[in-house]
Amino acid sequence: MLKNIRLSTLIVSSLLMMAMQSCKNAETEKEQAEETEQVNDEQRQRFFQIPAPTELFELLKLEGIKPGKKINLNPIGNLSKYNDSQSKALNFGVYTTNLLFCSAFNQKTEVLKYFENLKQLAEDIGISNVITDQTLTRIEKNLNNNDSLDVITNDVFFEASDNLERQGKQDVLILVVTGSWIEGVYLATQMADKFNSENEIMQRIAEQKFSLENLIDYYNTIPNAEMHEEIKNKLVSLMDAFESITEVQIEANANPENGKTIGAGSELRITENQYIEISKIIANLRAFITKQ
Amino acid sequence: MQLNILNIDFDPQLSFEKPNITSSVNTQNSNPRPMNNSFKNTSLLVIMFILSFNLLNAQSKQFDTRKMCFDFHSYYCKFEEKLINFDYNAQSRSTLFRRGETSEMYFIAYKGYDYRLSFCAQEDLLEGQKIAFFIRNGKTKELIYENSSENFPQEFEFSCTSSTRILVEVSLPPETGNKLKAGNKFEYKGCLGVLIESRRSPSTGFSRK
Repeated sequence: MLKNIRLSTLIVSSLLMMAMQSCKNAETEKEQAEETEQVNDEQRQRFFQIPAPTELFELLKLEGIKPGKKINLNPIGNLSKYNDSQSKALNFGVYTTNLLFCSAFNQKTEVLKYFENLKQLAEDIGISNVITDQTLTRIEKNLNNNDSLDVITNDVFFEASDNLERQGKQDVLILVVTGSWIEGVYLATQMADKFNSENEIMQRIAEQKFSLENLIDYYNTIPNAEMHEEIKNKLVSLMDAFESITEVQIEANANPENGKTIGAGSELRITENQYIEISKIIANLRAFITKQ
Repeated sequence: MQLNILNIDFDPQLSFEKPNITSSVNTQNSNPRPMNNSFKNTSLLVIMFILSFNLLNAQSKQFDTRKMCFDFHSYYCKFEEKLINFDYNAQSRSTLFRRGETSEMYFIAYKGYDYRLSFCAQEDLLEGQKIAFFIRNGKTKELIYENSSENFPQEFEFSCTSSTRILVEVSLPPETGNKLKAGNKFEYKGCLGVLIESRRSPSTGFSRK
């Protein structure tokens, strides 16, 4: 009797489960069909990539440009000002660029201090696994090895970005990228003592227009980006200033090994007034982000 | 390759409910009707099994397959020639892709640098075909290069003579082969990556008009 009841219960349950699964499969198929339809409608995925701040620092180093005066990095003590999620993400980006700058320009004593700030902010934005005690140990061991230090600090930047993207936190990632990019350009303007049209650093700052275009387009791909509308609008204002830079025709004399060249034809040429205006907007935006 | 499928977060409620059910079964042990008691125990276990099964299903649906492809390029895109002094460029990208689809990627190339782009995809996605790509001026959309003109090489190398925004368009022809014939209603999705590497150009020199 007991066996019969158990058997009946199991059969009924199995049938119930199969029915539920069948409904679920139908639902999944419907969802997939809708998804396929949606992709067919749009057909295109778009990605807007932003160079890491290290690329800009490398360019400046290769041109022989060094921090000639005391550079105004974001002070370590400002960490306590960042209490909301937006400022935490933005300043994680700012401090990451500070860390990369210290590593690139051999300011070793500062590296460990900035690392501590990053560790705290990484916990707050949900990527504590990126900046661990093991990373700190690696940095400490390689403080006198510039190449290794560069690799480790770059890894911190890449891992943080990767981790946020893996978690689907695009809305946080874009703030990190924004803070990081603004700080990179701000430090470049700090390194340029005063305007000199022959100084390569002016050209490199003008070229940041391309990265800014990608950054603004990137904002347009982020769901719920309206919560970052204020910061996006400030970037759009900065873009207006960059748009005033004119393109001049150039002739390429390059003779690359494999024959293909891209970019020959024009180059951005920034004037003193444009440079002053752009530097001013960047400094204001940086002050807004770092709450100084 | 690290796959995000390992990072599925299960609902903590799932494990939390188990002691409660056990507790209710224990309470039932004081019931003087043993046959009904066994029946209830069995029923509870079966219901618990069904609920768990469906909860797990619901959880697994939350997994975003796009994340699987995240750093596909780091592991599978390799330039054929082993050239030295090229460094990984953080503007590299991978994505979940399906046949018949086109992706656009805008990246920044700096003056005085050489770049090499390597394209790769999962074999099941390619089905023996090659990735088609176009390199365009990011602003004017003017075509600079298309790999169909050279029998579809899966890499592209260039020197950048003035900094610019570059558009890379990647596409795969629509699925027409065995998979559709086999009755698959939906197209196969797989990972596709673009690895970007860069280095300082060995020779530079420009003059202004």
